[in-house]
Amino acid sequence: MLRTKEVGNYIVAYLKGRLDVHISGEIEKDLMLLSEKNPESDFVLNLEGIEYMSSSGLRVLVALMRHLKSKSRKMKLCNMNVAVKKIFEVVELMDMFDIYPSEEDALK
Amino acid sequence: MSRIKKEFVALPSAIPQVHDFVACTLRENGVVGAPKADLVLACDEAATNIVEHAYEGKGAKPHFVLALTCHKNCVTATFFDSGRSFDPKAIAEPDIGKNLAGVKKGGYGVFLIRKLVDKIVYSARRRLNVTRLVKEVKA
Repeated sequence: MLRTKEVGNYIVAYLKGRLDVHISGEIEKDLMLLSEKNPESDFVLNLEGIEYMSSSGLRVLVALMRHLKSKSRKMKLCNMNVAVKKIFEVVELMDMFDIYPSEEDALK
Repeated sequence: MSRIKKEFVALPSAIPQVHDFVACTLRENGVVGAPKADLVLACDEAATNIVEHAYEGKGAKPHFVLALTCHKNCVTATFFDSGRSFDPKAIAEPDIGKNLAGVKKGGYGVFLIRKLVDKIVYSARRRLNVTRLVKEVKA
């Protein structure tokens, strides 16, 4: 179950734990459901609680970004730790996402 | 040199166990920091490929074995499975444009493995697939 909060037009979702193939399907379902329930909202994904991410987690983020972009909505990522940031850099995805150092910056 | 192996069921629920097995074994052998993190992720990706692709459509109790060998200057992670052949070296690089267009999903796992380890050796003989990942580590 995702912890979320609403700030203006943004839904902030707090992801936590290990985002691997075991849990990614469930997270993707939760995020898509959240999007359906809030069809006008933009998204901020706070990754502070993510201790580890594999390509299965990346796939979830790409799928959500595709879904939101197709509806002209925004998705921002924030509070990425060094390990998660390294994965984005290795697969050269840093430029494809809107990434902010903090939740406050993402919500500006 | 130390060698340890473990058998896992080829299901998504085994991936956290693979993660813990690799992390714990490397730590016990003095492999820490970035080399450890790279190997844990590379092994997660290799195991995920087996879980997601090797046994697709096959009914019988799927499983795979992971053997970790820690030498002074390198670590070898060898996966043994009897599922569908899957040569990670033959997979094309991911295409973010196609990913975002919904034409093709994923493709990052094998790309990550290639970037994180120094050598990938694959062989398929008599229904046994052997995928070996080799990473150099500082003594």
